Amino acid sequence: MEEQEKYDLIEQYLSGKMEKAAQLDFENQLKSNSALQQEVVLHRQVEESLKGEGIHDFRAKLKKADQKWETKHSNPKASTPIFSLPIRRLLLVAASFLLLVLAYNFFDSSSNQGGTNLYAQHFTPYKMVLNQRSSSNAPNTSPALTQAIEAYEQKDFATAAQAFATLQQESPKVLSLVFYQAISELSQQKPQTAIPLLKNILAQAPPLFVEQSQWYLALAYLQMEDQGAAQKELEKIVDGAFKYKEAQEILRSMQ
Amino acid sequence: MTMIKAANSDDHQLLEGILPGRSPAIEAVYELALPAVIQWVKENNGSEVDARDIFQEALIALFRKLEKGDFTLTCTLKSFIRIMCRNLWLSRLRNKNRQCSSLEEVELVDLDIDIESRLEQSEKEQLFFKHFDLLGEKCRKILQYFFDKMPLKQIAAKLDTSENYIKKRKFVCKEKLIKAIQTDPNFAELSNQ
Repeated sequence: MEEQEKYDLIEQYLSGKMEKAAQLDFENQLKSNSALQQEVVLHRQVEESLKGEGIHDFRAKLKKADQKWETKHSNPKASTPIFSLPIRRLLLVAASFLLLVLAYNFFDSSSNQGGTNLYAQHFTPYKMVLNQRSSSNAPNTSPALTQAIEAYEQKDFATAAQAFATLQQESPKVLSLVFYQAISELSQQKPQTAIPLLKNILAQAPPLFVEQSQWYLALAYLQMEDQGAAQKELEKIVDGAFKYKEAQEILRSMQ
Repeated sequence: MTMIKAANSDDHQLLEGILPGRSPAIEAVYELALPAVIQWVKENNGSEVDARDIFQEALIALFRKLEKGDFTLTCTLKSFIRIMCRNLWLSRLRNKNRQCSSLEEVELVDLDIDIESRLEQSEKEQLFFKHFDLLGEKCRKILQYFFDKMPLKQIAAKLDTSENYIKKRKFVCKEKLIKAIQTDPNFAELSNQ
């Protein structure tokens, strides 16, 4: 059965819109095919969990409330920022900052934005999503993976790159490890090591990290000052994909 | 319209603020109930991060319950959230074969069966949310409308494109989501629980 045909059947079955004969036939298939049975359950659970606009809005607000709570309770110093400085010092800081910005613009305006400049403006390491929740306690989390995740989160990218590379020897098919190694390499200004890793992910087109790899591959070329290759990769980022707007912005500034 | 009943008027007000997702109400619930949950989880083999994770899951389960219809709170909101979090954390400890250091006194308040089943699915639901959030914006929109039972024709009109394009894109996005969930290292483990 083709994948799309299977999805259509599952959706029809779950919506209760299947004709009687087709439904009986599908239920017979379910009895003898446990993989299909599990997939139907997964489709139903996913739909139930994700339906309703309200839940997504509520989750976003929970996230904000959680961040606010953390700022207030876990890191009290964070709530006494620059505003506690005397006003004269504050004005001096602002004036110095303004001078720096003006000076930068003056010296920068005559030159086209170089690849490394663009890279520096747009690169941030991708957030860690591997076992993000209670990572060190998850039973299937190996100590090596925990170490890699922790190094990445602490921005110790040399250790993280090494750890993700080692983990790949045990699990060569897990492309998320390749992805995080690539980002760790990029974070250490090693685009030449990151590029083949990102290309490898894109060639295999896994369900995860494709759009992200496309973006970071473009940034890697920018870091190498290969603007032609960077442009080609940026143009592959389609409307609605990860970092589409930033990609368009870079393309405009390259022209 | 949802009918909310609570003995305490402050709790009633908070519940009425949670349903439309009002930030001040959510933040007030954090102040009201989270510190006790953190303390309890820390005493039972967990960290503050664990506590904040399960606190969010409990509030999502509560939100879903409120969304569904009538809801009667038979204890204080603080106790209710604490019981939900306690049940969630104990089930995590059981699944991870870890010990609970202090035996809790038996709580007299039973949780609604609806909420119980929500809590049981909670970890899996978080996995679904994680992968849904990783999709591109357009994919998320199309799937959101589709899960909300909006006809493809209407989705196409809303996104200013053809029905045929939406049909294809919906399949691509859904396949991406399902495959990402299935290949997540935590998925197999959660399915076996």
